[in-house]
Amino acid sequence: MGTETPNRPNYPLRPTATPFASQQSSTPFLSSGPVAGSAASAFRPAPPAASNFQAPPFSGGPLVGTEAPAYRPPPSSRSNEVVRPPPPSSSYGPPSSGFQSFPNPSMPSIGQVPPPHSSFTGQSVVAPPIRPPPGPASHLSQPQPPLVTMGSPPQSIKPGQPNPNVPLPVDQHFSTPRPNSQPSSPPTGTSYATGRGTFPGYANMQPNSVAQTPPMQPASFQLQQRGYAPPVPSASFPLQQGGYAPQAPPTSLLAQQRGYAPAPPISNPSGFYSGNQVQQHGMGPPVAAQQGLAEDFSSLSLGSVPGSFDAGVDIAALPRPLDGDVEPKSFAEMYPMNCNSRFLRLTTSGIPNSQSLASRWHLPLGSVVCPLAETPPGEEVPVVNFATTGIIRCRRCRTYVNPYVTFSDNGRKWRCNICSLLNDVPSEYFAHVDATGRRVDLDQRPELIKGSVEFIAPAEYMVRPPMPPLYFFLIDVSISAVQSGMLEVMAQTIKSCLDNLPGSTRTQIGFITYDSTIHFYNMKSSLAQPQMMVVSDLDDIFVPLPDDLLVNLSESRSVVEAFLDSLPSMFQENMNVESAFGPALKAAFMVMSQLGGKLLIFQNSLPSLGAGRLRLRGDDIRVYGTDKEHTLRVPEDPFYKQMAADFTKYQIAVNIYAFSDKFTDIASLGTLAKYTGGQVYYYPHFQASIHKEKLKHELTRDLTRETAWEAVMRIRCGKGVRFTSYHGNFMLRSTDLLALPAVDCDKAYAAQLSLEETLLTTQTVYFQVALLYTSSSGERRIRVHTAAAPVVADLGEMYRLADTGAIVSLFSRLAIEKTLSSKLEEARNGVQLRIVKALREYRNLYAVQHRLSGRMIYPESLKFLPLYGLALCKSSPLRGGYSDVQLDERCAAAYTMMALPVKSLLKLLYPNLVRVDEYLLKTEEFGTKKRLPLTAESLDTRGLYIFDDGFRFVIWFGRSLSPDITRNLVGEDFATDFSKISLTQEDNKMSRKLMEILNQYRESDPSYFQLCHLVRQGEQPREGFFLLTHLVEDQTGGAHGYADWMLQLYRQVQQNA
Amino acid sequence: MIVCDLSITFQFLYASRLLCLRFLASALLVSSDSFVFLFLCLIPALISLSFFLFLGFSDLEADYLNPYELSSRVNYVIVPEYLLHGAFCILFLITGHWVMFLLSLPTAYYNLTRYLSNQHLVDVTEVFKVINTEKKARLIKLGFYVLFFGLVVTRLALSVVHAVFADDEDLVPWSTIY
Repeated sequence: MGTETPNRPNYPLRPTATPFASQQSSTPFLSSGPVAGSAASAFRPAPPAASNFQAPPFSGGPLVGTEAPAYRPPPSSRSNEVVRPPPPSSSYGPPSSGFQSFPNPSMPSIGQVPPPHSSFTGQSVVAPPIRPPPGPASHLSQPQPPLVTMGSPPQSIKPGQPNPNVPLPVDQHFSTPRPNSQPSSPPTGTSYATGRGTFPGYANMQPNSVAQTPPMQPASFQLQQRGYAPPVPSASFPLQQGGYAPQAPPTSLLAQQRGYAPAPPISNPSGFYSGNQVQQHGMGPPVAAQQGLAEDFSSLSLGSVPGSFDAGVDIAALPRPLDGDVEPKSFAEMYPMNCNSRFLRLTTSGIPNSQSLASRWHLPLGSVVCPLAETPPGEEVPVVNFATTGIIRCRRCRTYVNPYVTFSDNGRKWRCNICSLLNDVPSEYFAHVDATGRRVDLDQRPELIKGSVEFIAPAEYMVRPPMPPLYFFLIDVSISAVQSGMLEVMAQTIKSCLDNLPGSTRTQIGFITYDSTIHFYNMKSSLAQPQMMVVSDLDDIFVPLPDDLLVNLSESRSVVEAFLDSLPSMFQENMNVESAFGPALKAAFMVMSQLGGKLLIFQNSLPSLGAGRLRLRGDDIRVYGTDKEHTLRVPEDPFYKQMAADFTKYQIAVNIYAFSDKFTDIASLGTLAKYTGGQVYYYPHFQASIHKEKLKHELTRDLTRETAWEAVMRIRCGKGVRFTSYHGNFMLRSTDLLALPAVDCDKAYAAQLSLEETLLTTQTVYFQVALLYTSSSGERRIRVHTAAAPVVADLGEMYRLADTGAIVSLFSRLAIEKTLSSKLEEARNGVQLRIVKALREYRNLYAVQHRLSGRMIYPESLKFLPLYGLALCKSSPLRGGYSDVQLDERCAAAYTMMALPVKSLLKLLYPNLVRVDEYLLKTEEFGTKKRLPLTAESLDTRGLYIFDDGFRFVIWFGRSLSPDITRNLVGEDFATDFSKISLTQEDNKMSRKLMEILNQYRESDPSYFQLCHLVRQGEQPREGFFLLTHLVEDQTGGAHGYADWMLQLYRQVQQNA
Repeated sequence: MIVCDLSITFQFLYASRLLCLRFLASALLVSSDSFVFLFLCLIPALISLSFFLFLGFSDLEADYLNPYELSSRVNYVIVPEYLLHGAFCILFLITGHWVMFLLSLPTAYYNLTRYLSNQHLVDVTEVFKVINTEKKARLIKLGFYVLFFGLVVTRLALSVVHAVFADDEDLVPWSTIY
């Protein structure tokens, strides 16, 4: 099987991924040979045939070797002559001269370098196996040389590519060790997979391979011609094929093995296609005309021989997002004046032109907006001040002036791009228009060039004077808070942040602590020490002081510091176990309601007194699987929703910090954060000694990051489309107005679009996100992001312009919302169903015309979607059932994921896994490390790995990792229980290096602190908890492995296709 | 054969019509004036309540109303509405208007289940998610009440007509039956 990625534009750019690929790119000659093969593989109706082609060139080698006996090259084709079929017996034996055998290390090690192959005579190079087949030595398939020789000169996929001699390429290939072949790269991947005997289908394959006969090839050939062939003149193809036919048997083997070879050859075409696409948009480099036929889709052949081996998927060849989140670039190039994709991402940049087309797009149609995303230095959003003019907006639809408005009537009028109303240009804003319709002052008007600008809003955008930044702390001081050390860490952290709170001298601050009573603190600046007032009447809360509970930080700085210093000791002896959370919340509300601001709640136990008291729930296993299951994930008491609504109304954002080791009902508490634009931080089993750094970092970030206060956000879009639903942490104030008491760079919001009119007549749809907020400096500002997207009439185009990241983000939000009203399983099925529907629709687009039975095809743009879908189903909010994830953890993760920006979400779903032991031993710099596929097979017992999902690091120590490394990193007591040690820098080079790496990772993703968890191989249950359950490609519990998942998707796509 | 069929049909039609008319007339006549008056008041009250709520949701959608106002408004009147409908139902029952009672039963059941499952109050945080279903529900209720109003008025008119034109002896036995 091969994955084809015909239109992968960047293929050539990433030669490293597969040795072959590199070959190809570097040496056109090789490419020509493989190309034919790849193309064939891609199209071949019958998998064996396809595999056939691919196999010889690349990955086939090893496989072939193992299974050599099985295939007999057909004599008829001319290529046969060249090819020397390996003697059956030899294949298993030690490598004969003809065959190259790689030593196959039993463990998959990324770092392994393929042994140099001295003899390349006529043998195709074997890709260094990431995960080499355990047993069989890999053989090089002979076919390659023949290919080369045969290499039909005429067909060059890329025009202008010379066909170098075979030997040269081979040499190169050999010489270049690819220690870390990316699993993602289909070719290599396939090879490995194939190599492994683990597949169920494998055993069966052999007979098949034998059975394979040249006749299959013609069919494959046809396919090629139709689908992909474009680059090569059709005539040449047949020749090639003929030439290769003999090799078919080997390929068949591959196929059997499920090897997918996303053959390099394919890659070539892909490059081509991509070019083509681009061209269509008018920006691509010129491509040969032959490619007119080019289609853009990827395909994965699954169980191509009906019935024979159903389970066959080459795991290694499956696409993996090892490069992280790759945003589609073509869109940004198409509309250079659009805002950056970090602010706004559409699930597909092609807006369907009719409702019927939209209904065929089964994926969510919408966008993910992160209005305050952090910008790298130099790309700050320009601030525009229309001091006297007033902000220029459309009279009718209230759109802000943006780069896409057009000026007419010699600059006296401007036409709104969203509602196309002709507006007058105010005289102060007037500028002449040159012959091309551009304003002469364009370069001084950032709002007319840039997709993102910030306007300074005049007084009419204020309903009250801009509020000062206000931080209010509601702190649980019951016994568990004191004992866990939370109180102390928190007080220290707040104190250390006092200097960095935004707002300089305007910032206000206040504190309430509570256990079974509520303690208010008078922080009046004239006092030396804060005065504590205790209110014990929980039924009728009153605020003992009208003012002075909330004070200006700069004026009362000394009192505040004194308070924070004494806070831990004040409650040192507190034995109170009760928590009057609800009444305290009400008290905080009363204090804050005048101004609004940010309320940080530190909760250590289940609210047990007064209003909003919660009971223990969630430990009832019987509820799971029933219709009542979802009630565990929604707030139990309407009190919380009501409070949340009131908080939002008064511009109060709530952040929840929960620490308990027991059930705290995050589902209820989190509601407060959800509807107020806040965030939930959950530290189960908080111990100051372990979690101190994490709390410190995250609280610091929460307090000091740039925050937008009392904000509202609206997304406007062109006529005919409308945003119908919004997903994230906020409250809707009207149908399309999001109330956000506080926003910062770590919050993203998703929205779904629907078409209002049956047919869109415009060519382009414009979107404008406007966030009206008060900055910490006390300015009222409007941040405006504008983007344009083309309207398309073709479903294929929509798929091509799809953005996996945005789609996954919307998917996860929808699925999480679904868990609030139905069972987890239904939510998971929902995700699966939508993916299946989308793929089926896509298949219907192309399958008929290419006769792609037996393979799974998917758009290049969505190649990672199935994997992310799987990862989503295995993420904490959706995974398993009762025992798989603690209820609190599940809810906390759900609240977090509802607010995560796309990049962080993708990282959480498909975390980084890198091997570092070699870097620690060597002296070289730690560059960007190769990410590994998330499967247990990536883990070498001799290795040291870092697993990073953006929220925590797991450092995995292989069983046979040299004790030296362990000793250096952990210290002398390296044999102790890892759960009790935290990683600290030891005084040696290795440890410093590791810390460097970790810090580098942390800096690249500062929104959360990644706490290190050390895990030793085989150390249960910690290993399972921290790492194994997060290896999303493996089969864990009742969940599918990646290959199974693909197969299941494939089968479902086939049904009713 | 055809003739036979026709005659049967006619007979049936006639009988059913007769039954219907007598039933209607008797129902209203038997009930005292105060009951009629009650019905005539209750139904418009329900109609106006439903309309008010429907309007509230429409206003919310058009942004004339914010969710806070809407929810306080709706939650204020929703229980009275349910009570009113309950009373309405019981009135039909105790005055022996079986058909009308049965007709009003589905709505009562709907109200009851909503109330018992604690879904009757509008959730201010999620109001925009339910706005369409709520509007639809209100509209159906509104139509239902208007239909009821029509029925009651028709019955009243019919009973008046019967009272004027029909002979009392004929009617009394029927009414006693029901």
